[in-house]
Amino acid sequence: MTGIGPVELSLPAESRTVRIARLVAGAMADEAGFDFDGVEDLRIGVGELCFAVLEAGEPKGQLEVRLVQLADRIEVSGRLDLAPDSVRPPEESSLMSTLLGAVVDGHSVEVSDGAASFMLHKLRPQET
Amino acid sequence: MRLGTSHPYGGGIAPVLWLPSLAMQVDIGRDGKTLQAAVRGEVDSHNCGEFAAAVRDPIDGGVDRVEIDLSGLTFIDSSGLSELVKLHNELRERHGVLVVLNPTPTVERVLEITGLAEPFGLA
Repeated sequence: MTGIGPVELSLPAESRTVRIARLVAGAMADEAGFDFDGVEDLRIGVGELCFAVLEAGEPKGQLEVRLVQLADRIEVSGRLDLAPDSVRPPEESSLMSTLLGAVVDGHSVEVSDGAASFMLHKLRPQET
Repeated sequence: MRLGTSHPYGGGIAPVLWLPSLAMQVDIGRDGKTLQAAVRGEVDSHNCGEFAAAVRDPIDGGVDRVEIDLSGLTFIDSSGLSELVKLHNELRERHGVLVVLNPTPTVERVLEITGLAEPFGLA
């Protein structure tokens, strides 16, 4: 199967735009052959991590999200520049950790002086 | 978009990727000491405060049971779940109970993953 992408989104750094990233992630998962739960899993993962970077400080610029469909997985990364004085350490609630641990196959969040970023990947279902 | 897969929320033929309503709406009713809420749409970090206020504000001293119908809820994230947990704990402190009803398959799966299905009366 030929993958689509990469798809790059540049979204206003506001919580209301996260649903757009979720929508695109769901569409890509569907194109990649994920079942219904897999599509929902990716939507959940992308949403959780977009909110994580949005809550890491005062945004300075757009929320950049990049989705790539690879042979064995979908990878999603995100980045948001932050006002340096506003940066907060990343927080992951127990509910968020539990959800992410169940719905994606790997994820990370990094916060530095001037930016917050995330990565996640979800393996494609095996073709039978 | 592929056609021909059973729709998870009602049978029949529907796209695999179903695009739900993105708005959130909460309808409130009252039956004696029971507050009834029906939520539709998506609840996430953006609107979970609005969701919680819509359910919490009508609760007065005469309410000892809150039932939340989730049949129209198509998405919930950890922030929305956290608000449900807070409400559950607040009600329990005053000897009340929170019950969630009719979750969609997606939401039921999230409640099971997080271990909240049983506390919310679904198990």
